[in-house]
Amino acid sequence: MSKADAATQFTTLYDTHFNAVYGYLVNRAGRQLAEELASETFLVAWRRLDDVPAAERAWLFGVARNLLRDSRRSAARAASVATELASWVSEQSSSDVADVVVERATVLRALTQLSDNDRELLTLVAWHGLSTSEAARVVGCSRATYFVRLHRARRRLERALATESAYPPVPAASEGNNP
Amino acid sequence: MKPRSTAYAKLADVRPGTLEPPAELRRRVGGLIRSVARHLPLGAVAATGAAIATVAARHVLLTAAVAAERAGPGHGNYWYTRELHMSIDQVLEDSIVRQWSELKEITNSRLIPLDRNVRGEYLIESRFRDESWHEPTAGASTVWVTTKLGARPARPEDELAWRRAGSPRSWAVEGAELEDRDGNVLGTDAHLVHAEEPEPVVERTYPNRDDSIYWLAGHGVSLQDLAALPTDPMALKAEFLRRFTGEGSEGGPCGATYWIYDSARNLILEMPVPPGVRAATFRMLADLPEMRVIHDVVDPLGRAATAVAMRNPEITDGAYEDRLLIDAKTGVGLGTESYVLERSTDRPWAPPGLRLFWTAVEAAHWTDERPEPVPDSATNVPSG
Repeated sequence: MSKADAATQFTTLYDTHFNAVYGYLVNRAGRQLAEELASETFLVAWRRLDDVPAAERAWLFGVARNLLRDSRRSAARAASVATELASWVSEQSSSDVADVVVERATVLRALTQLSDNDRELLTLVAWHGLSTSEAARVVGCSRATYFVRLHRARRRLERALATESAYPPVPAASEGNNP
Repeated sequence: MKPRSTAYAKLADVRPGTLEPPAELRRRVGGLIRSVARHLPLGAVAATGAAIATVAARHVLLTAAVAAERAGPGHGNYWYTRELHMSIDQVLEDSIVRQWSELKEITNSRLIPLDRNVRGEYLIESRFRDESWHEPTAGASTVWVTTKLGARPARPEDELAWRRAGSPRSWAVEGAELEDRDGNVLGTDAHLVHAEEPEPVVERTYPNRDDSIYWLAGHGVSLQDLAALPTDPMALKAEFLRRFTGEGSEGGPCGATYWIYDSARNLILEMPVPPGVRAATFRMLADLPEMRVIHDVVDPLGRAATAVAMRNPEITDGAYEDRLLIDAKTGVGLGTESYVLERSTDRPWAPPGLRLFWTAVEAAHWTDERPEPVPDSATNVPSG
């Protein structure tokens, strides 16, 4: 492969998958680290362009996942993820009507109660555009095992949601406009 | 109660907006990655743990390249540089100093027989400032002004040793080894350094033999040669390698990568090259294997700097790390340092971690003014 061909292939890879890889890394490491990690993921992709298989996105997620394991970043990552998850719950779309906002916040809050692994399993397909077999490849197991693990994670999400719904947090008083 | 599947099904509808990269971030990372990719050999396998450091290291040099590109070329009749230099020496024992003085009285020779393993007393650092005004045409001249700034104990422990020794104001330090015509070592040259130099300022004027008045990659080059250097990093690297003989710019064995690094360092710190060539030099450095970037350091003058560090792997007696200091935001070269990594038999007194030399570039620009050339070269050299 000539360098020009490689550059074209790489640009296509980047244009097609950057948003997904970035989103996955925001989910797993928070916005503070996502940019750096996404850059590094694509750098690895460039250096190993010949190794990129047809299932490009799953492969890129696998690279990103390996980078996440870097222990040098684990403390920074914990803080960055905590900030990220907190921002999801407080994030509101102004066009949403009130009860949609509440339900949205409840689901997200339930999700943030779960472990990092459960959150990953639950969102690979729902948020990051992977097929179930790609998701299985990313987490490194067979499709059958992936479904078993997803099933367990879904039950834990359900339980967390029930808890959240039963004991909704007291909403913060809005400024100068108490009912 | 809702069926179990609902919560999972709802997830797709509550995907946080923060998972989408802002357009500006997408552009920024895209630019960074593409530019890094352009300068990375295809297929090179990165050590994964080091990859992010590599990205950051390259990024800082590519930033410097962009800044260097934006800088104006500058104008003037003379290329002016002002550099402050520091070096560390071992103070020789009193007996040697006496011996040296006696020899000098008798023979007016500086040569002393010196056992390399002789114990020195402590370390001192000497500083001097070099200013030069290059007029880049044949038939013109270059004016050099050297200001000797004296010496002082190098480290706190040296200061203690110096006080114990009665706080002398001058010291004998080891110079170069001298050989006879058959290569037999006759002894070692020694010289005296002073806390306050008696005649600190030396001005010299050198007439230009031709227009090749700059020294780059082991060769004299003219201003036109510098202006004609490639603005493509790969071509620039090839140009440096073309001049590579296996010997370093100051003698001794030298690896090819270190040669490129050394040439690039020289160019960035001292050479009047067009902005595009400076930018290419930073991009070339970003591509060098074995290059290490150290962020957030301080240069010898206290300026915030980024260090681009490299070892010359061909040096087998001891080991040193050279650091090129730059202001990455402006693409300006700030100086260079040399640290001891492993003790050598050549300088058994220099422990790992010691900063053995540094040069701080205080100015490097075109100017229209310079001191009057001294009619006869070496006029003002102190006698003795």
